[in-house]
Amino acid sequence: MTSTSPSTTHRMMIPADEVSDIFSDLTPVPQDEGPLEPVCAIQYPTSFRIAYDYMRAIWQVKEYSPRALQLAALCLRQNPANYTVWQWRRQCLKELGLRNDKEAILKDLQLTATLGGSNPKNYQIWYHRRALLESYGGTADGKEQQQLSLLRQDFGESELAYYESVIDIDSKNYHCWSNRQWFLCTLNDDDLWERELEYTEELIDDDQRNNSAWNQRWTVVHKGTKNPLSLEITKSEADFCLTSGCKVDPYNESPWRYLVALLQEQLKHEKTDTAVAEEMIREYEQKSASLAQILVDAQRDPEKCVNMTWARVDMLEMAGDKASLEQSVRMARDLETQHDVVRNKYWKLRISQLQEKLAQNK
Amino acid sequence: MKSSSPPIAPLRDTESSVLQVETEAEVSPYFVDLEKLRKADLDNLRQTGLLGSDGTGVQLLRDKHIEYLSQVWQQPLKPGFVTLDSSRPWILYWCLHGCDLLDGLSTIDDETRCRMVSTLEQCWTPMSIQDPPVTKEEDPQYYVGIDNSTDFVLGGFGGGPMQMAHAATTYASILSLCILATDSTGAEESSSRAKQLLANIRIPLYRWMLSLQTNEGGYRMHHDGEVDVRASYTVLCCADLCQLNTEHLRHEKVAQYIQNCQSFEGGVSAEANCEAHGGYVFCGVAALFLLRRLDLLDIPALTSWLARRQMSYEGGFSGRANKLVDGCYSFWQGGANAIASSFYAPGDQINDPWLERQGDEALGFSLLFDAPMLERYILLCAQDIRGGLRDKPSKPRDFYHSCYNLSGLSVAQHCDFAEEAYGDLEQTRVARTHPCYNIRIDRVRDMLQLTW
Repeated sequence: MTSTSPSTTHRMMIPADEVSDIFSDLTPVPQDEGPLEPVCAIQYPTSFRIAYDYMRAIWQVKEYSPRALQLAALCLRQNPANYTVWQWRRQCLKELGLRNDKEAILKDLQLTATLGGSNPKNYQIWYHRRALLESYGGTADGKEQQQLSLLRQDFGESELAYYESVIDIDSKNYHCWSNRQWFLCTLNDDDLWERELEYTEELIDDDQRNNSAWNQRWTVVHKGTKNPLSLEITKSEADFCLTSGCKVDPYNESPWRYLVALLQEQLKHEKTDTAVAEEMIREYEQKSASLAQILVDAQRDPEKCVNMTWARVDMLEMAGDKASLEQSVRMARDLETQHDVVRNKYWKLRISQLQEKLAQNK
Repeated sequence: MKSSSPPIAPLRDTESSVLQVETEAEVSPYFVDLEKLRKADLDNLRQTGLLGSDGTGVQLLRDKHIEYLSQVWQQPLKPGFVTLDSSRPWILYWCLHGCDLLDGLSTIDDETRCRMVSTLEQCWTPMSIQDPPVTKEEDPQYYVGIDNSTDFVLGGFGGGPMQMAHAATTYASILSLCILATDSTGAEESSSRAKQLLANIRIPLYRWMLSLQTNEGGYRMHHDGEVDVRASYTVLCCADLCQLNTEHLRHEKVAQYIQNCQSFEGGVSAEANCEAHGGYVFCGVAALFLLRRLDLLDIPALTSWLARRQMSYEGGFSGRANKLVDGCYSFWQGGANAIASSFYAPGDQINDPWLERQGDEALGFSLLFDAPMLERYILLCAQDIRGGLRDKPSKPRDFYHSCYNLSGLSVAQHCDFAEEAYGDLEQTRVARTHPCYNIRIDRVRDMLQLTW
């Protein structure tokens, strides 16, 4: 191995034009395209080819070293979607005993942030963050409380701040949200859940149609579990939904579906008295119906507000009594024939199901 | 054909609603009434090929699409493609399957197809073909071995030569090999090579796929890689096509893992707690169909979510609530919709209704979306007049969107015959894809009839 000065061992990435010199002790391994001319072949830029030729050489001799990490960073800058290089990088950090080293992990988190740009949308860089944090402070499985405290203490605030910086740029970045959910569920800390609830409220206030924020709210109030909410929380969430979502814009799908799902959950919940749940459902159906006035005041035709009618059909179906079911059939029929004809086949199916329920009801 | 609903302005403008209104404005010129156009404008459209020379029917630009897709085996890809250097089997599948749907395979000679098999062979991560399939209990040594980095790369197909095996590129490779193996007319050599390669890799492929299974019933995309429903689907799909779908791969907890990914909205997400999303809903629904466990999902909630994804005005699908229409969801949402609607088929849900169907006989159930409206979006908004298809008019064409627009068109045209079509079906008709495997149904049939 060529000798390296301290300043070069600590840099993140090798400059492309120094690769051949730094790895002059290795024989580059060209990509083996096989005996026939390949298809989907890419005209690799020279710097790409050189970096990957040496990367393969490193893999062959299984060299785990700082310079190898620096070469991996260069390869990843040229193709951040190369999962093999990312995986090898994690292996290399492990071999160098750096997987529990806070400074080393911070550097790698920084690398993913740099390579991802302001709105990263690739599986590999997000998984790299997650894998490094998952194993931080111990093994990935069966995390002890102590390890979780360490994770929270060393990375809690910086990680949440990073996710937030990405959400600021793209409030619906799917990868970012999944990582954030995983992180919060892993830490499962009441203070953090509390803060997160406020965060979703802010985001929903900014854009009531941010469905990712509504989804996050569902996750937060359930603390990442499938356990049904208490009746009390259900009501406060349903009120939030109507006030901060449905009333602001009844055309918006997100709060309506959140509301219907809250009510559905109570109806399915073994511990909730069915009569109590049905009563609550009727109450919210009526509150929903009263929102039509907002549209009338705005000189809009409430009949054409498909998402509102749809939610009401669902609530009336859940309420389950004869009058409600009959009303739901009438409303579904209007959607099928007049206001939501693009979905007329769906509505036909719904109407036949509602009529079946009605028949059983008699 | 009934007309789409005119867009309704939101009551309050937000970041999301502004983008939606912009998109409606972007597509509206494509929905102009052709009969009201001036002759000069009509002539222009005819010149591009988008309108037939007689009448005003919108055309599928078949030859131009084939020409566009064929690039990938005719010449090397531009340097800008280095970011897809770990997805080369994907590029091949998108283009090969796209061509196959356009009945364009005959334009590819045997020699070129042999190059395809050879390229995929280079992406295979070698492992002894003598190794028998085993379970963790039977072969602890192998499973200890996967913790050792030297064994990490063995067993499936990677994104390129010397890349580690990955479930997604394995899926793309297997589907491509199935297409090549089952089309031997004028391509005897490549077809036999593809079959031989499949025969050689079946067993190590099985071992590798099994090694991706987690204790919770999920699958990893690769060793030391992410766990999500894409992996469940791609593994089960490959296993089915290679007749490797054993009890171990189909373990009860595999279905439960997917069931846990159904979100409160009714759609399916990448993993538990995430947002319902078109790509993942397809993976979850198709995987559960392959397991014959669709019953685990809340079907009314699922069909309701799927129904809401068709845009009232644009006619195409969005990926999530309050997101924009995108041509690729023509297949992800359209395919999921076709599969979910099979739940309402009469009978015991054990057979595969698309494979069992004889010729043009009707399926026992109908799509729950408006197929002509989707066809209209694909034909008018997603076609690039130079060939290739796209997300929406303001986005550039690419191989991925070409594949999934055409696949969605196939679902719309073939999964529901009661429906009238948009335009001249004789001209726009593509081949029949299987909504679960997304290769042509005749190819799935042929694969399942092979004996290994």
